[in-house]
Amino acid sequence: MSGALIDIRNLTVRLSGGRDAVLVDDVSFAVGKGEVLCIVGESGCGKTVTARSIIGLTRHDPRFSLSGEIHFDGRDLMRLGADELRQVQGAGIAMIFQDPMTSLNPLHRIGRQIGEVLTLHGKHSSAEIRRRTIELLRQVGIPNPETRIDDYPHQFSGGMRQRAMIAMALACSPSLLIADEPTTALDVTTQKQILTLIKKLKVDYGMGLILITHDLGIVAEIADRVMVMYAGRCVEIGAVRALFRTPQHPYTAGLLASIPAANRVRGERLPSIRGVPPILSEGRPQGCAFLPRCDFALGQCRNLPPLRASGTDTDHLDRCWLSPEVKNQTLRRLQEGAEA
Amino acid sequence: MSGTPLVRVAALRKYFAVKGGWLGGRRGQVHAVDDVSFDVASGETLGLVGESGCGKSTLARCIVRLVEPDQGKLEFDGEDITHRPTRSLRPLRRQIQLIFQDPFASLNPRKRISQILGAALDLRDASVSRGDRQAEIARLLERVGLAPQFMDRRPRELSGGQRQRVGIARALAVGPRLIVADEPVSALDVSVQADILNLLKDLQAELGLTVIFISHDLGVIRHVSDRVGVMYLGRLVELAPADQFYAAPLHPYSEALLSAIPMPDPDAHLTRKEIVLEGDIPSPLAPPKGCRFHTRCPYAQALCAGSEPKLSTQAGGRLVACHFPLAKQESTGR
Repeated sequence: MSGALIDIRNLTVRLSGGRDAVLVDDVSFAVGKGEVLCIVGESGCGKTVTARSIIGLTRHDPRFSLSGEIHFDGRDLMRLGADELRQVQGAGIAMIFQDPMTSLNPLHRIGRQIGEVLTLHGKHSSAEIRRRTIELLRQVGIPNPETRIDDYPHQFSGGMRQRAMIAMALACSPSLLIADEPTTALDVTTQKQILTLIKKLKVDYGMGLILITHDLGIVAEIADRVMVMYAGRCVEIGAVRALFRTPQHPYTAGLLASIPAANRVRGERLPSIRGVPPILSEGRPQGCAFLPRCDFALGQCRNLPPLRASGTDTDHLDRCWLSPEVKNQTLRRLQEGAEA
Repeated sequence: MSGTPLVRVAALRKYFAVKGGWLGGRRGQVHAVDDVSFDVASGETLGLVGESGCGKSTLARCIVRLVEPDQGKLEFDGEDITHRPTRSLRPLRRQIQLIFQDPFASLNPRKRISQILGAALDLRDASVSRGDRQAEIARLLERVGLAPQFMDRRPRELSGGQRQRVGIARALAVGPRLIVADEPVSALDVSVQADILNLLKDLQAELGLTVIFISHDLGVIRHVSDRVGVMYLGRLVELAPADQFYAAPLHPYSEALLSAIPMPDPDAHLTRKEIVLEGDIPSPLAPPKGCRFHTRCPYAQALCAGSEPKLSTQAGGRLVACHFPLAKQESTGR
């Protein structure tokens, strides 16, 4: 995929130590300029490890071993030294995390923490840094930024802290923003505010966005493309409408059907996926990792299916042996049954 | 819904003192639950929804009498339990049970599942023989969809969903009539969440339970509730049958909440009204004067800042606390 902002090829992350496990297994994807890719999956599926590996946060942990290529801005980030990588972190790629309270230093004023990023990535005068920090706080919708800049994190509400985190991420106008469950700790109406803000800033800054979430509602709201992960592997990837309308993997279809959405008629049983996701440190099932929970499993499923297109849409890939007819009819029916 | 309701909450109030300052003096009061009234009929599921700080968990704790209300009246099965002393609450515990949010924190990690459930069974009848008790535990586990082998395990050997099943089994062990479930599926993954919701509904139908179901997730609430109550900063602002509520909320806050749920449909924004509220939820230490929602309400008028609307009956028997309920304005072409 040429012209992509970031191109990740065959990313594999192994956890060694007491229990060996492959946390991320041969994951490849690209994100274009201004594009939003959502990585979705349940706890332990490897979505956070994938995101942290892109920005190099897992590199210094001796328990992790990484392989693969991450092409960004004409370079392979996997081959960069620590100093070079630090230049990319924050300036080229920025990241925001789930819990804004633990990612802000409680002892430093908000303004100083944002200013620090500016100082690290450019040589500005202190007056200039303060002016730019106020400007950033205003952009992320913090009221009275001139006075709030001198507040400590505990004086901010949860939503405002996440706004401050976003301001910090934007400080160096990154071309790619990685957001790991940015609204999970927030209330619904605050979540709506933050998602609206992220969407707006993405356009203003022309950023690419990788957003990690477990909530398919958020995916539908913000994504251009979606990658579904299960047990460390990408099981389905495609454009958001294609994936929601015609899910090709039984896991994706099951997830979509099991959401107790507010638009659904009350009273009937929710379709659920039986069993629980595998614990990777206890070994992954042979072949397709979803096999023990799948209602459509075939003998063939003991061999790992390739990630390939089932239909004519060559951008919509899935990792499932089922025939395209079964996928298009049965899986669609599963989902429509849930909506009816 | 005839006869006496199983639960009657009347003008219930619970404030918490906040201590602070260097002499530990009183700094203020959290208005956790403020003048809340509603009934729950036997066999009904009432869903309570609201955001953090709205008082929904405190209300739950008042109803199961883990905390004592300051004012108002709480009746269970026609009996006043508002200020019943802790000593004499035991018989009540057999009738009212709470299911907690966090299945990791609500089970004793040092006990086996058989001990956890056994302790609950003893509360019902301590004279049961050992053999009968084992059989009863196995039956309980089976009822919540767990194999009898789970009896010998400890909580850490269980997944989140399995732990929540044990939490439900423990609540059922005493044979309760009312279950108060406080965010029972919030800590679970979507695919597991569906299982637990189905289980709760099955059990309710099978055992004729009355359920007060508390959640911040309007999707979950819709799936389980007969009626929905919305709370904001300690007040009940709307109470309505579920179908009517989801079809047309009357309170502007309800409308904003419904609009804020991310819908799993990429084209949802084409058909629904997008409302992004301004600002944050005010502190429950100092709730705004007048209508508590007026500082963020897109339709607020002068009256809203001055006087607080009471929960009052609208056409169709629905309750709403708003000077300008939505349906009326809708018809005038807004």
